Amino acid sequence: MEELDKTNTNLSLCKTKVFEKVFNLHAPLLHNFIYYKCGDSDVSEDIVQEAFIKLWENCKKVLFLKAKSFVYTVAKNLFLNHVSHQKVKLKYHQEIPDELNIESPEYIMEESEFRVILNDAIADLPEKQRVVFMLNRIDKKTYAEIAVMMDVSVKAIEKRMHQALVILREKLGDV
Amino acid sequence: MQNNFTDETFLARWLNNELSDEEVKAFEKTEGFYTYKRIVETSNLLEKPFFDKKKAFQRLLQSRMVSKKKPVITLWSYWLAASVAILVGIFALLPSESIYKSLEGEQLAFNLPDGSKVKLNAKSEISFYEKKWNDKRELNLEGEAYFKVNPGSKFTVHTKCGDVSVLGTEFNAHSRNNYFEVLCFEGRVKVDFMNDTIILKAGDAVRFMDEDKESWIFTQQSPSWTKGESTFENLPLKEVVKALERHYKIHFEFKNIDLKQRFTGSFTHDNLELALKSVFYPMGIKYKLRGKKPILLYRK
Repeated sequence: MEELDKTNTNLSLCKTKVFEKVFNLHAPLLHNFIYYKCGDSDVSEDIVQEAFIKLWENCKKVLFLKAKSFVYTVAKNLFLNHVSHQKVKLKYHQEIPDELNIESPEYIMEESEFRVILNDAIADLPEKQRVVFMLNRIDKKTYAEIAVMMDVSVKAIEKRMHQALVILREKLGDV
Repeated sequence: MQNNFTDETFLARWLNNELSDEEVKAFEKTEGFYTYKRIVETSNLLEKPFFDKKKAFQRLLQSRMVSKKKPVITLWSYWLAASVAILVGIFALLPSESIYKSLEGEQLAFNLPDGSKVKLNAKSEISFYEKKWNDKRELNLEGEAYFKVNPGSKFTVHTKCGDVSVLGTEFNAHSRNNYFEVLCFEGRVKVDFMNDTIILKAGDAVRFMDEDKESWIFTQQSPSWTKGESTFENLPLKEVVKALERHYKIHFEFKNIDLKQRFTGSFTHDNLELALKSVFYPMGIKYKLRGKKPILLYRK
C-alpha cells in the first residue's frame, strides 16, 4: 500500500482504474473500523458506500494521497450523524483451529465457553476501547496506524488498549 | 483481583513486547496474568468481519453510472442552447418543478429520472426538480407513496412531518397533517421526525400521530394498497375513515361513534358496499347510504 502511495502521487482519482485501486486499498479496513463502532454490517457497508461516492464526486479536488483521510473523515461524520447509539451487538464468525481437537472434551467446552463470554465482553466495551482492541487484535494494526485512523496520539491508543484489557479481565474474572 | 500497574499503558506495551525482562517476570507472577494471556490468545482467533470488496465496488459503480449521466456538451450545442434559452425567455429562469398528483380514487405509477419507481396512493402529490435530480435525489411528498429506490446516492423524501432517507431500498411513506407513517420493505431506511432519528430495517414500521410514536413489525412484501386493497394495523378509526373517503370520493357523518377506537383489517378499492361492510361490521357500527348526502355512521 505504501509503495503505491509513493510511486503514483499524481494519479487522478477520476480514472476508474485508480479509483478501484483506492477502493480496494481502503474500503475493507474502513468497513471494519466502522463495524467495530456500531456492530452492524449493513450500516457499515452503507457508510463505506456513501463515503466513496463522496470521494468520487470530489475526485477532481481530492489529491491521491489525501483519499484515505478524506474517506475516513466522511465516514466518521456519517457515522456520527447516523447513530442513535443502539446497543452494540457484534457478531463474529470464529475459526475453530484444528489443534483444539487434541484437547480433552472438557477443555473444548471450556474454551468455546470462554470465547462466547469474551465475545459478549468485547461487545460491551466502550466504543473507543473496542475499536482499538479489534483493530489491533483482528486487523493487526499497530498503535501508530490506529492513532492516525482515530486522530489521536499513540499514547492515547496505548491507554485505550490497556483499559480494554483491564475491563475485559474484570468482566471475565480470573479463571 | 486488582493489579497495580506502573502506568496506564502497561498492558499495551506488554502486548507489543516493549516491557523489560524484569517487568515481564514480575507481571507473570501476578494473579491476572493468566486471564490476560488467555484474552489475547483467544482474541487472535476472532475472524475479520465479512466484507465483499468486489460486490461493494460493483454497487458503487452502479450508483456512479446514475450520477454520471450528464451528456457531453459540444460547443455548437452551447449556441443552440443559448438561442433556445432566448426563445424560452423567462420560463427558463424559473426552476422547473415536476409535479405528479393523484386525485381521490386514483392511483399513479411513474419512474423518477434515475429509474427509481414510485407508486402514488389516492389524493397524494410528489414534486421534485428534474434538473437537480442527478446531483441530489430529493423530493417532496404530501400523502402516501411507495418507493422502489435504485441503489445510488442518498435518496431523501421530505414531508411536512419529517424526512425519510435511504441509499437504495423499498419503503412506503405516508404523511398528512399530523400523521406520519413509514414502512420499510427492503434494506434500511432512516426516518427523521422532529428531533427523533429512527433506523428501520426490512419489516419495521413506525408511525407518529400527534407526536405519539408507535412502532410495529409486519410481514407483507409490498404495501397492500398497490394491489387494490388498503390494510391497517391498529389504526384509529378516524384515519381509516379518511382513507375510505380518499379512495371512494365519499363523505361521512357520525352519530354516537368513537373515532379513537382502533381498527385492524383491510378494505378493497373496487367495491364500496364490501369495503364499508369489512370496516364497520366488525366494529359493530351501522351505516346508511343516503344518495348524494354523506354516508351516516351510527351505533344503536
